Formats: sequence, structure tokens, C-alpha cells
Amino acid sequence: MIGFLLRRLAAGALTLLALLTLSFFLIRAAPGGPFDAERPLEPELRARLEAQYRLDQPLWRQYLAFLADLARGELGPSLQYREYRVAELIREGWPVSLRLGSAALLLAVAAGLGLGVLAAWRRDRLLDRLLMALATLLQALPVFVSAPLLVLLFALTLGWLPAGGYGGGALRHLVLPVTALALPHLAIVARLTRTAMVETLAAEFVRAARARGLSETRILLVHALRPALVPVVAYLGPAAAAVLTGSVVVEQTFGLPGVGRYFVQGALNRDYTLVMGVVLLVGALVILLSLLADLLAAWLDPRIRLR
Amino acid sequence: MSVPPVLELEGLEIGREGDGAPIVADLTLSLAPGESLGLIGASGAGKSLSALALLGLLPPGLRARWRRMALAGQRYAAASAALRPLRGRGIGLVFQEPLAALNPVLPVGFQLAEVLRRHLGLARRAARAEAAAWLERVGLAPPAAFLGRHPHELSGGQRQRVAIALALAPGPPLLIADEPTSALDPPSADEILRLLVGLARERGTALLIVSHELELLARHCERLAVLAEGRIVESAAAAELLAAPREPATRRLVAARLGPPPRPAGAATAVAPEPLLRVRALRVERRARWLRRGSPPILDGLELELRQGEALGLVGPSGSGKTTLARALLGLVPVAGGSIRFAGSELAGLSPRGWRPLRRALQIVFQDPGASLDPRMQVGAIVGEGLRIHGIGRDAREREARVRAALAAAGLDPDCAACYPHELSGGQRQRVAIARALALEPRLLVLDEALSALDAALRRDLLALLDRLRRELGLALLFISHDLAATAWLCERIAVLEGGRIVESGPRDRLLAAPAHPVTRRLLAAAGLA
Amino acid sequence: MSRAFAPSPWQRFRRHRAARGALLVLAALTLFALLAPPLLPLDPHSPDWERISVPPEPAHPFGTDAIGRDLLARTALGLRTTLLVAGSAALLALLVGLPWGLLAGWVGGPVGGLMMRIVDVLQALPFLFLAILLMAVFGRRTELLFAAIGGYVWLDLARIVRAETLSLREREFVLAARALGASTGRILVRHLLPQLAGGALVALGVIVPKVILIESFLSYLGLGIQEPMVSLGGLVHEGAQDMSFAPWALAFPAGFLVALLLALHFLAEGLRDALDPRSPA
Repeated sequence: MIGFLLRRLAAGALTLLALLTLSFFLIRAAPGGPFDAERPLEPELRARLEAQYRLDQPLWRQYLAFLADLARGELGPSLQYREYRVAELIREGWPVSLRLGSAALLLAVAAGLGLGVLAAWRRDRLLDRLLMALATLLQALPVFVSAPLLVLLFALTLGWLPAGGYGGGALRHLVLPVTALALPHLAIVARLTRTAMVETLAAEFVRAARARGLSETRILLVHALRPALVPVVAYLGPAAAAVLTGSVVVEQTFGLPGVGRYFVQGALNRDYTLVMGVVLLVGALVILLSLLADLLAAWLDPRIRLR
Repeated sequence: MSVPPVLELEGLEIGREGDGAPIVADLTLSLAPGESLGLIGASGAGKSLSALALLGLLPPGLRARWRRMALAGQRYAAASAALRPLRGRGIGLVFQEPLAALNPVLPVGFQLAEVLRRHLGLARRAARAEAAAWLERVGLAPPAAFLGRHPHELSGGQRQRVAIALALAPGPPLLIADEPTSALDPPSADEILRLLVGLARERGTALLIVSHELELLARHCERLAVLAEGRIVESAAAAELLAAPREPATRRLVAARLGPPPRPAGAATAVAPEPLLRVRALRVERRARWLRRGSPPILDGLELELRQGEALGLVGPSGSGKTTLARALLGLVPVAGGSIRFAGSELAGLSPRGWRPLRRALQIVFQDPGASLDPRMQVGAIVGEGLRIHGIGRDAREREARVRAALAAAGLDPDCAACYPHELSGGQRQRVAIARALALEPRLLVLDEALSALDAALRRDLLALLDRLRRELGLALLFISHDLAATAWLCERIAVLEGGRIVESGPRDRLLAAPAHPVTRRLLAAAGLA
Repeated sequence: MSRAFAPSPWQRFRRHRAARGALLVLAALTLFALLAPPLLPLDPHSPDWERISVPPEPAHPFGTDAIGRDLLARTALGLRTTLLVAGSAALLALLVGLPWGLLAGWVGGPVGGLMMRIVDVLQALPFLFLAILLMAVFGRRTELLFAAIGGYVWLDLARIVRAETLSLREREFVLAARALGASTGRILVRHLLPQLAGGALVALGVIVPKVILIESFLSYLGLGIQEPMVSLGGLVHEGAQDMSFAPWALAFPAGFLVALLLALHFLAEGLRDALDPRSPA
């Protein structure tokens, strides 16, 4: 167990390093630089800026410096928002994304599991078909379609909820973005749960549990649900990382100050340091949550060997 | 009889919803308290469905009806809801495949305690103590070592012990065991049945064992009932039924028991003096896994000799390395050391190119014909594949003739060349596999548990076929099996494999009469030959 | 020996109502994408400054966008681009992923292990990130988009094919073929490929919608297909900006995109049911 954890963490660290290295060279290999903005800078000013941010040095020295900074936990200043450090931007934006994301995750898991169990319990009946048709539709609906549609319906047409803005995290402002963020995951969790539950409910061991006279509720919630959770957990590991680090679509559509938009903006503006900061955040989260999902899956189903 | 019977079942009928033809028609059965009844019938006779019907657990699409069913004097209607109270408390059920019948993700102690709490109303701690007591009762000691284990951490026999504990723990007056031993090797099967009968007798539980293995049932049950065409055709005390079967179906079953071996076995064919196959110090290692080195080899120091026209039987408990030996002989797993000389060539370490010309002479039939035939090929293409590979036959016409001849030699209608494997029965499929091997006109045929998946009547037919092929074609047979009775019928020489080496070998009669090694004695006892 | 025992996968597929409907929808969408632009007198590119953001009317059945371009023509064009991306990604996945998985599964051992480690590492990378980075950094070139998406989707296929090959390799009918003396090539082509085709097809049914989602997402961000070409994702993006006063500009492209994804989803479901002998016909 300890050995497994150490091995996985080491492998994760290596993957993260590979990812950071790849991103580092990829973005610097791009034509243009952070100071090629709309109006050209005076040559002296530009040289001074480049020296200040070490951009005048050879690439390999920049890379080594980046690694050295990283080892000290330093991400450097943002090249676009020059008065901010990258860590500050993330510290400001991430709580917003995290708040939205954890609410969306909770909604997706709770509702998805509930609806999935319900559909499996009433399998091939009307309720099951309706729920699964709905889930299929939601799964096929990209967030960049559903988010504007939600705004169109609930904000612009009905006027029940605000069309955008964070509103200091007020519930009214969170409902639409959280829903948009949660919908596809909710649909997938419901479908995965239903499929796996239908399979376990047809298994011989469930028939044996019935033959032993156990109650239907207990069979459904103890005997059939637990093995059925494994594929759900496997899906949720990486998915949670994506949800918790914000969605550029949702943040753009609703005008929210999260970290989701930083990555695309940063890449377009050649904000090297900001991009690296977001890569580090997302990469680390993906690796940690996948590990957590694997541990959870092994706890749910002891036949899974941790390797 | 003054004591009322535990189970009275009259006119059970099981059929598909909608259409007519019933699977079980008019099954009538009664069991006295503490009695053990063996219900025997060919596969597909509806034995398992009858057991499930009593608990209202038929698979979707099937319906059961009965004129009367009473358990301990109380009558029940044939509806799932009415039968629910019977589950666990009234009738315990032990399933065929214990791994499939236990929840794979819950510890066995948890599953036992769950049943005890549900049916005996025990509190959490009392249930746990009682679960431990049950594990001990079924021979899983010390219970503390087993309570927390999951089914996949137990052997097949241990799992079936847990399943027995689960079924008996609520104290039902009747226990139904549905083919409880068909997933086990003969020694464990024997032990499990002894345990089952012993526990049932001790607790006064009536026992209904459903099986297709006549020998095993006759040895453990007081009374036998024969199920054929959906009804009980004959029922009598075990010894009486074996000695004097009255009905044709019963006679067929009794006749399918293997009679005395055809003897003198060796006389019909002249056995060549030089061995066709000589195995020396054969060593096969487990596939090397990182960090898992140093596990013992599967085969170590194995020695074997086989002559043309001879049948050698190789028996051993599961896990002794039988299948690995078969695959090593055919070059399907790498050999780590030793020598395999076959018809003048050394097979160990031979390159694929070197193997090719030898493939014709050395063929194999696998255990499961459902798995060893490519499901997407027609029988003709399956049997003819070897001919095409080796370029045998001038043209397609000649190859077709050879395919038909091979099918006929394996006792099949040559017209089934146009069938797909799933359209054939298990016995027919195994004949196709034999025909595939025969088409190449091999000198040695390795049979790896080739008859184990078949029921007794089919097994007997195929044994006779193999014996005829050996005599008529001078084929050498290596018959690998855990079934000592079948092996003794076919083979005049028997070798016993255990832990990757031959622990005893010799002429059949000597081995049966005076087994030297404990493993041999255990196998003999399990086959009812000791 | 009854011949009418089990229906073939094709028969099972034809009996699957949702899949049949999906196939029809897919065919209709493809026809629309291919035929609408040449047959209709509508131009997806030239703006009509007289008719900016008009709702659907006989001259413009889907209405026009914010600079007066006909939305029916643009939707057909976007659909064609999206189908093209999906098709080429599927082809790439097949050409790379299938042999890769087959080889890794068949060879096994350290070489097969190494081949799978490569897949693992590539899959551990947050792909969407790299795609965004790639497109943002190297300009929005269509070839690059194809390469980026194709380079990602073969991973799933390779993994599925390898897992299936690993289990098939140990099956007795493969051992039986080896015992007959069949060459590796013969076993791979005659015995393994026919078995793998089903799984690969089902995998493609999952991969293709994923590709479409990725492409539309990148185009939505303005990083995918560039003007004058346009894809459904890009159209949704344009439509979303004007949705308060011209909802049709969002509704039509979004509707087509969702219809396409739904059709592919049901098609994949039908394929899976048809190829899984356990599912009821």
C-alpha cells in the first residue's frame, strides 16, 4: 500500500514534470512574445522588460531557472498582468472556480447516482426510458451550447436569475453556472450508474442474495450498488479535476472571475508564466484525483489490485 | 409415515411465458425430515430451474405452476411474493458456481453476519460471533483468519463451504444444493458432499442435491430420483436404483457409468518398442513478472514416455501442472529446461519454423470445445484449416473430401461442415475438435481434459471413439484428466502428477490395486475406486 | 441442428430501432451537408448588408447572422467541416490505434508493455490543454487541428484493441490454431481481426462524438477552424454572442450539432447491443 502510493506519486511527479517541460518549450517555440501587444514598445523599454523577466537568456537557462523557481514554490510574475504574481492570480481566481466546481460536482454525483439507481431499479419501464433519454440528450449537449441556452431561458426570457456576474458568490448568481457545469457530468454519472447497476442486478450473486432472503432495499443499496460504483469512480477522478479548475466556457458565458479563462487567455497572449501556473494546477489536480479515484475503486472492489 | 414430510411438491410445471412446450412437466417430489435425496438428470432437464422455482426466483420469461407445494405442512402459492418468506428461512439454496454466488466485494464474514441478523435477529456482535462459529462448522478454521476475506481470496472448495454456511445458518428445514460440486475437482467434490450431508444430518435438515453425476449422488444420498423429460420417472433407495434400474431413462444413466475397461487393452495393437515421445527433466517456469521472481516452477523434473499405439493417462489434482504440460509438449508455452524428444526430433527450444513440419504429427484437443473453435468459422473451415496451412491435398475438392472423412471418423455427419460451432451441442463440438486434429493424420494426440465438460453419456461415447481410433489408426494418446475413472477405462498406463512432477506411475491395474502415493490414494477415493 | 439459432450481429443491428433511426438521421445530415451548398442559391460567405440578423424567412430559411450571411448555407458548410474532421480523425485512429493495440497485445512482454506505457503517458497529459496550447501557439491551422485530434483519439482505440487482443491471445481457439501450425500473420488476420472488428467499431462510436466535441470546443474558443471555413462549434460561438436579439443564429447550428451527436450516440449504442450476444435482441 505504502509502496503503491510512493510509486504512484513518483510516477505522477514525473508525468507532471514531462507535462510542464512540454508546455514550457511549446509555448516558447511559438512565434511572437508577451510584449508584442497591440502597440509596439520602444526598443529600450522592451529590452529592459525582457531582461527583467529573463527572456533575453538562452532557452535552456530559462528552463533551468524555471525549475529552480518551481522548486522554491515560486511561479514568477504574470507577463500580462504585470503588477500581479501568478500565484496571486491563482489564489484569487481559484476559490471562485473551486466553489463553483465543488457545487457542480456535488450536484452531478448526488443527482447522477440517485437517478441512475432509480433508472436501474425501474429498468425498461417508462421512468427508466425517460431518464435515460434525458441523460443521453444532456450528454450530447456541449456546455457551450447549454450555457447560452440556460441564460437565454432563465435570465433573458424568464428573468428569474441574473445572466452573469459573480455577485460576491451569492446563490442567485451561482445557480445557472453550477447547473451548466454539472449537467454533462450528471448525465454521464447517471448513465454509468444505471448500466453498471443493471449488470450487477442481473449477476448470479444478486440472485443468491435474494435466495438468502435479504430485503430488496438491502440488495439494491449494499449488494448491487457497491460494485456498480467502480466505473463511476473511475470516471469521476479525472472529471473532478476538470470541474474543480474551472471551465473557460462557463466563466466566459457568465462573466465569472475564475481561473478557467486564464489558460486560453494566457496562451493567446503568450503569458508564459501564467500558462505554466495553470498547467501546474490542473496537472497536479488530475494526478492526485486519479490516484484518489484508484484508491477508492480498490476499496470498493477488493479484487482490484493496486499496482 | 407419522411425521409429515418437509417438502411436498405436486405437479410442478415450468414453461416459457406465452408458448406451450414446458421445460418441466408435472414434477412430483416429497422429502421426509432429515432425508437426503439426490435428483439426477441429464443437462438441460430442468433440475436447476425447479430449485429456483421453489423460491420464486426463475429468470425473467419463465413461469412456474404447481398443484400443491407445502413446506413443513404450510402450503404456498406459486407466486414470487408468496414465496419470498421462504427464502433463506424456509429453504436454503447452494448454487453451482460458488464464486458467482457470493458477493465479490464483501467479506465472507460480513455476508454471513448479514444473513444471521436478518433471519435470527441477532445484534451486530452476536452475529459476528455466530458467523465465526459457522465458519468453523464448515471447516474453515481458525475462523478469525477467514471472516475478513473476500471470495476471490478463497479456493473453490472454501468458497463452497462458505456458501453452505450461508444456506444453513438461518436454520431452514430444507436445503437444496444445485450441482454443488461441478465446479470442483473430484477430491474437493467428495469432501464438500460429505460435509453437506454431515451438517444436514446433524441439524435435521432435509437435503435435496441436484446433480448430473450419478456416482457422486449414489455415494452420498439415501434416495435417488431420476428426472427425464420434465418429470420424475423413477425414485428408489440409492443402492436399489443402481442395481435394478426399471425405467429406460434410468437404465441409460446407469449404463453410462463406465463398465470394466476393454481388455486386454494392449493386445489389439502392437506397441512399438521405441518410445514415440520421451520427456526428460522437463522444467517450465511461471511467466516472469517484475518483482515476482523466485516463485516455484510449474513443472520441474518431469519424466514421461509414450509409445506408438499406446494410451497414457495423466491424472492429478487441479493446479498440479497438467494443462501446462500439454501446452509445453505442443510448444505453446516456453520450456525452461530438459528435453522433449518426439519421433526423433528435439522439441524443447525449437524455433517456430522448425516446429511447422512436426505440427502435423502432434495434435491436441482442448478442454472447452466452446472456446477452442473459432466462433466465426464454419466447421468445414475449422477442420480444413490445418490442411490449408500444411498444403495437404492437391485442390479444394480433395481437401473437402479429407474434411468429410475426418468428420466421419470423429462420428459426425459430414454435412455439418456448413454449420457454425454455436449451432452444435457440446458433444458435437468436441467431436469437431477431434476431427480437426485427425484431419492432419497425427501420430500423437494430446487430450487436455477433453471430456471433462461433457456429461456421463457423452463422455462414454467419446471414450469409446478414442479407444477405437487408437486401435485402428495406431494413434498414441496422452489423456490428461482429473477424472480417474475415465482415465482408467481408456489407458493401460497411468501417471500421477502433483506439484509439477510425476509422483507415481505404472500399469493401470497395479496403480488401482496398490496405490503407493497419498495423492493417488486421494484421487482413487474421490473416484469411488478405493 | 437448427440454423435459425442466433441472429447475426447485422440482423440484431437492423432490429435496433434507435440505431436504425440514428443511421437515417446521419444519412440525412450528410446529404444536407454535401448537397445544400451546391444546390441552393445561397452563399455562406458574402454578407448581405441589407438583411442583417433577419429571422427565418422564405429567402433565408434559417435567417441571417450579424453581418447578413445566410445561416442555412453556413450551417451546411459548418456541418460538412465537422463531419470531415470526425471522419478523418476516425480514419487516423483506425490506421494508428488498431495496429498499435494489436501489436502491443500480441507481442506482450517488455515490448508490448513499453508500447502501452507510451499510450499511458500520452493519456495522462491533459489533452485539451495541449490542444489549446498547440492551436494558440502555432496559429489556427487546419492540418494542425487534424493532427492534434487524431494524435489523441488513437490512444483510446489502441487501449481497447490491446485489452481485447490480450484476452483473445490466450483463448483456446488461438492456441488451437497455433497447434495446427498457423503462422502469426494467419492468426492475426484470420482469427483475431474478425473478433476485434466489433470492439473497434464500438470504440469508434465513442471516439467520433468525442472528436466532434473537441473540435467544436476549440472552434468555439476561436482556436479551431478559421474563416472562411467554419464548423458547427464556431457557428455556435457566433450565435451565442447575439442570442439576446437573434436566437435563431444559436438555435440552428446548436440543433444540428446536438442532432449529430445524438445520432452518433444511438448508432454506437446499437452497434454495441448488436455485437454483444448477451443483450436481448
